[in-house]
Amino acid sequence: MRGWALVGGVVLACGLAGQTVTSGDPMYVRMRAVGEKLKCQCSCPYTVGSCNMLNCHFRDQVNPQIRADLTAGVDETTILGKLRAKYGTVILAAPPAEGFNVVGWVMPFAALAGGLLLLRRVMLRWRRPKAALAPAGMASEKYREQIEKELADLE
Amino acid sequence: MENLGALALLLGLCLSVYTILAALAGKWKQKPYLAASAERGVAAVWALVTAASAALLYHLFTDDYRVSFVASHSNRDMPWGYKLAAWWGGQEGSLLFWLWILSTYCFVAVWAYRRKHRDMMGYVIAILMTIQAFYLLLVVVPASPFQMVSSGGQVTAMPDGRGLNPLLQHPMMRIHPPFLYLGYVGFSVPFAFAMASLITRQKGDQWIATTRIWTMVTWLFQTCGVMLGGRWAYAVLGWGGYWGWDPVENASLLPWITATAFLHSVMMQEKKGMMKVWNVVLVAATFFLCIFGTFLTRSGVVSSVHAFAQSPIGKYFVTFIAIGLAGTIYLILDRLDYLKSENQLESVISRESSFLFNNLILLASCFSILWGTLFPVISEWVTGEKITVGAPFFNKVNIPIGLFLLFLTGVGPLFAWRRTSLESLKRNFLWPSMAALALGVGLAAFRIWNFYVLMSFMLCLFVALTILQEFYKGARAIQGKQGGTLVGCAVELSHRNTRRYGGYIVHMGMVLMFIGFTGQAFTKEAMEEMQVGQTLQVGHYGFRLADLKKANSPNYHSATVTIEVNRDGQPFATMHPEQRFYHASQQPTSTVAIEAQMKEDVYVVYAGNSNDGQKPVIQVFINPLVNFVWLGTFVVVFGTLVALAPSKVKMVWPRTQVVGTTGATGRGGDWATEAKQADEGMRR
Repeated sequence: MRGWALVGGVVLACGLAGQTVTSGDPMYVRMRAVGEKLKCQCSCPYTVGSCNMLNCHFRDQVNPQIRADLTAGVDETTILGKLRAKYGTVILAAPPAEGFNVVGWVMPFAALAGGLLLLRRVMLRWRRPKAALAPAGMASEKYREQIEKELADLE
Repeated sequence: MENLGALALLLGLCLSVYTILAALAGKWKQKPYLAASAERGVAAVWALVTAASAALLYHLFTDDYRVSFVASHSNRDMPWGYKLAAWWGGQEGSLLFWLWILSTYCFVAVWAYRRKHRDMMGYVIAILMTIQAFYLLLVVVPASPFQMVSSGGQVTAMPDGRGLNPLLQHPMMRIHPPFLYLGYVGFSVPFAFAMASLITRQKGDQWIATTRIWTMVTWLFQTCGVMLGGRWAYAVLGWGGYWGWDPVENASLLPWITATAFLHSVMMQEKKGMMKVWNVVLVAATFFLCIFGTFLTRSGVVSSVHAFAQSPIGKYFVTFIAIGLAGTIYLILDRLDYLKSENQLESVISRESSFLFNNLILLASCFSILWGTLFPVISEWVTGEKITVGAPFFNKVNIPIGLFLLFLTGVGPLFAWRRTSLESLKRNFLWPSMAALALGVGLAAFRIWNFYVLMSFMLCLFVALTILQEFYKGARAIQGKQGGTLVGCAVELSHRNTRRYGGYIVHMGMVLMFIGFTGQAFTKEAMEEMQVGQTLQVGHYGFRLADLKKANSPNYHSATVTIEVNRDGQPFATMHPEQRFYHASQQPTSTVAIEAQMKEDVYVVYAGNSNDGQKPVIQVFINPLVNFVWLGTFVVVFGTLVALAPSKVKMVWPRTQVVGTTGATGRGGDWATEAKQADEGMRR
């Protein structure tokens, strides 16, 4: 019963949270979405969408182009392609997955996969029984001496 | 005074070289007087660096514009608080500040541990003083803070300084860099102890016990530094966010991640004598990532809004890192025999495995951030074409990794050492999993379909419930024995094993931070050129531009707009975003107005003026849940302080007994046994 009350409470809470989800001006939102994929070239570290440098020459130059293209019904990929052709690949906020840049995208996941393999190996090694290891300390010394003595007696 | 400062640094360099030699000779020749002399050398270098720092502060506070650093980073009308902040606001001063913190740490560490670890103290001193000597070399040769302004071969004085960068003239800048530096620099001490233990072929875990608290304190400073930086970016830069995946931001995160991995894996060494090589590697990686971060910030290898001006110190850093890394790798490889694991893994479903996975995921995250930060340089080198690796790359790669880490935060601590039974898994995870699933269904019902958002909220609830469950079960066990309120018993429980329950509180803080990160997915924003009297509607909020005022102060002139905000038609707040133009630096900047609530922040920026200069451009963000990020930071800090506090009951057992509680008891963790043992301990 207590569990179902918890589940009910959670659903109610997320319902209340869900009420606040609305969207703003559609054109501004679309423009901002495209701008988020473009790196601003005004020496700030942000995207064209988030650059707020006062009177930024680059943002103020690119944003009208994006707005005009979006208004004309041009899709996002074409807009990004046009801007890339005009300003170079450096304008894209993330490297395109082509040529050598594929390495950039693949490497983190390859490293993770490599790490998993390494982890598996370490776990297997750590799980190996240690029975084969030689006994240590004074006891081993005592037994070794006894074995050597008995072997000598045999001879 | 400038001669005194420069002389103090030069003497400091000579004395640090002497201290290295005295420490090593004292050790090798077994001469106690040389060892004692080296210890005093550490104190003397600290005194000299402190004297040089005091000299620079004197120049800053007396507006001595003959000194180039003061002329470049301060001006007469700057408030005294920012004159102090100018110490770390420029390349040369910040290196001196770094050095002063390092020398203070060395002084404290050497005097605190000189008797406890006499066998390795000579090497600890030599390593710490080598690092100090490197920074002293930097401030003596390529980046002296006491360089004078000269004209025609004569020392001259500027009439006024250029002032501190306007973006840095914010209260947060008085505390963010010191915290970050306290974190960065502090990792030198665990590194020195780790290397000294390798050199002296220590088989035990003495250095681990000594440096764990040191690492935790340093980690705490680093956490505060990184989050204060985020808060500064949020409050000052005015783009509505707090983390832009800038190379310098990334550089501050890298050592934090490896230090976090170390704080987890060190438990494996303490309790089971495992992961010894790994721990040394993590300590070394953390230290070198700190140095690497400094190199990134100061060398001009990558461009960043946070970077200092380009300077020739890059090659010094490369040389230092190369020599240091070579020495460290050699030492680790040469001493592998002393770092063998003392135990074996009994089951894949165990606390040990969860630590291994936790470390793997943390390191994968660290690697992906490092890779993304350096990839533009690598790509340009290979293809000749400039590319950008920005937020979209880091988000795509790190969000799944972060979510998996969050999952491990929930499950890891509830796995038992050695092995965990299926029954125990069911008991510990059934209700949290069901509640998380219910949340997912509920959110989906309200049209929140984004996979990562759903997963993040579900995992946050799952982890929070597993943590609360642990407190509840432990507190109930104590309540059953001693009575009292459940909250009182939870406090008692935490007091009995501060490290364990402090850790849980830290995890809860991380959950709160993840809630805040996820809230970003629901950000709403708008930007508009507005006339006085005009209204802009964003979500539930209406923004009416009520007034525009201009003002002048000695440091800057400003234009401030008054915005009356209503929520669903009801008056909510009056906000005053501002634009400033600093006289000395001739730079404009905007000051953000934030109306903070737990549910969401209303964030208003005076972003500029229309082309005709008549209408202010107002940008508005509604940032849901962002305050959970700051709240989470406070909880992380609180949890770390709890973990640092001594436990009420000192529980010391041989390793085999400590790890003896398994899934056979039916408990995911070992709280019941601990509570029982703690009771017995108290009675004793």
